[in-house]
Amino acid sequence: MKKLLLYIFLILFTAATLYPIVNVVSISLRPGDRLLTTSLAFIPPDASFDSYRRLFTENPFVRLLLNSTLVALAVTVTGVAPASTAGYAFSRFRFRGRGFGMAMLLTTQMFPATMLLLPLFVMLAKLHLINSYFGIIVVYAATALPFCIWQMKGYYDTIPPSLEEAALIDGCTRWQAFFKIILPLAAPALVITALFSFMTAWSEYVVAAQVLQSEEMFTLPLGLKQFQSNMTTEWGLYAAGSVLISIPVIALFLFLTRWLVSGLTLGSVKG
Amino acid sequence: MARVILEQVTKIFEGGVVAARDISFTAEEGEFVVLVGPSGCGKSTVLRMIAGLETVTEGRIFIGERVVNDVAPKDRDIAMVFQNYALYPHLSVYENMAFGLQMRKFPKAEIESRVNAAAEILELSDFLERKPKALSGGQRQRVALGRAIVRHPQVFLFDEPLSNLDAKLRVQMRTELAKLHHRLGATMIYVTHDQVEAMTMGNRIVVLKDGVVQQVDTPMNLYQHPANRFVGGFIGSPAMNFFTCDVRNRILKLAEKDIPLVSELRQRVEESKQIILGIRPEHFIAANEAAASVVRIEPQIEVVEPMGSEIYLHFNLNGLPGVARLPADTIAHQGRSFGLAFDLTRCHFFDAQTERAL
Repeated sequence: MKKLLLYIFLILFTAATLYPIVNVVSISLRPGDRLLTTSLAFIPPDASFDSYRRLFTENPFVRLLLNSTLVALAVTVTGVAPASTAGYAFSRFRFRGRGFGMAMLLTTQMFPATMLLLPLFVMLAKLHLINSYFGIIVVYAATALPFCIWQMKGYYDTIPPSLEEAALIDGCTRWQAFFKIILPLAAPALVITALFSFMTAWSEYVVAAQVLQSEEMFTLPLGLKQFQSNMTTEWGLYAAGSVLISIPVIALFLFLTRWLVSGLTLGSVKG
Repeated sequence: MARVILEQVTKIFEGGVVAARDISFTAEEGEFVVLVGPSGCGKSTVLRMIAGLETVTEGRIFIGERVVNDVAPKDRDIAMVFQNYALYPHLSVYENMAFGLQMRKFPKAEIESRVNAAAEILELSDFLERKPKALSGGQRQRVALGRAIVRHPQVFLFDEPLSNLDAKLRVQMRTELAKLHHRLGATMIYVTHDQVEAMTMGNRIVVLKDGVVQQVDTPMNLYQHPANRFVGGFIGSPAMNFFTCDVRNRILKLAEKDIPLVSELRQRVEESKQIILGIRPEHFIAANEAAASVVRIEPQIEVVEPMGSEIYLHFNLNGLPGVARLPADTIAHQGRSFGLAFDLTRCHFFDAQTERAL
């Protein structure tokens, strides 16, 4: 009985999670801009890939994709590199301002992005970084970094310090001990950090809408919004674009899961 | 091989905690020196300072002719075996052992021959491709040992390397380590809280308490001539019995019993002073077997512990607890009195105030 209830609960949640996705896929396959339909068929009877074709032929979707990829990859690199080293420092070294620094990093996460919009805009404008990739990358990296640092620090805390001490005695410098011993063991945390950074940039709309102003620089979420005008919305294109946007994230996740394994430090020290 | 000298080494941690104060001792070339003491006595801190993993607040550490206070761990030519093994979990047994040599850019053939030789000694040849998680505790500890010996360092440092092993394996590894020391002839500094390990393995023992050296001596000298009450109580199992006594008119008063001091003791023990009498449990004999010259007491037996080869009698002498170690065939009953005897010349005397040996 308990199991049955559990299954009902799980099925309901799975349905609630999957329904929007299925619906978006379904809309993307419908010809015209039919948002609503009376048919219950997942694949509409007159299904076509016309919306997908139009995305690539009549719309600058490839450019949007490249823009987003550039920004997201840059944010991932600029997020993971400092987070992996800063997290290590916070985990291993005792220095003046350590506690304060950690608290400040956490504090930055407490403000909603919309509240930060105006000050960010003013700051970027003064730095002449409005409508530049550099500007948006800085904002995204700054937004993602505190969480990434905390995450990496938390993971390093679980790796016994005696491992790098052994490496120091074995002939490593601090850097070598970090790169050769600690970083490989932190692979699962690096993967999560990379995914988080990537997604922060990939699907963000509000900040991008303020910072990026010329259409050539638009990222995917901004490009999607363009299918919506005052009078009509091109639901077919909108849905097809949404489906395509999610594919790189899924692919990246599947690619990175191979490093998402537990128990990497098993056997290193007496448990 | 090199000599290790500590000259008045002090370590004060942030916040003012003194972990080690004025530590001075020398580990001669090829010597096996054991640092022993209860947990928190600073022995691991001293070892970590020798390794370069902790900075030295005051004093100097020499390895060979060189002061190494400011030398990085990798440049001290030492190897260390950690209590928790500290194996690199993502590397195979072979890679773990080869790591130190690879970092020092040894030729591949040399690395291979050294690792294979060490694996042979430690019976690890069949496990070289395995990851540490696929090994038992004893095997992991041997890999940690192998990682140290392939390096042929000047000094080996051991931080309680056997404390995570079960009792049987510990005894086995103890012998292995002693053999290894004999074979390599290297200077070894070994930290333990286990006085049996210290006694059986060390050429010399440094006894530490609260960050201060209590005595540096050979195992037998520590046992026979403890410098103070702490050393007397720490070395030996079961621990030495201590009885506080008054001395008056050349008479020692032990639990209502008057014991006349023999002439050689009179010079060591001052009049009208309180002293602590120390008697090792193994220095008691059953009174019925004792010669006439010994001191006899008749305590109440509280617990009889048969150990197989001997028995421990836990007794109460007019409120003073004690333990005696007697042959296994001794017949004693809980709750009854039992005649014990001891030879005053084999006892130890400590000043009741300073606790130093008299």
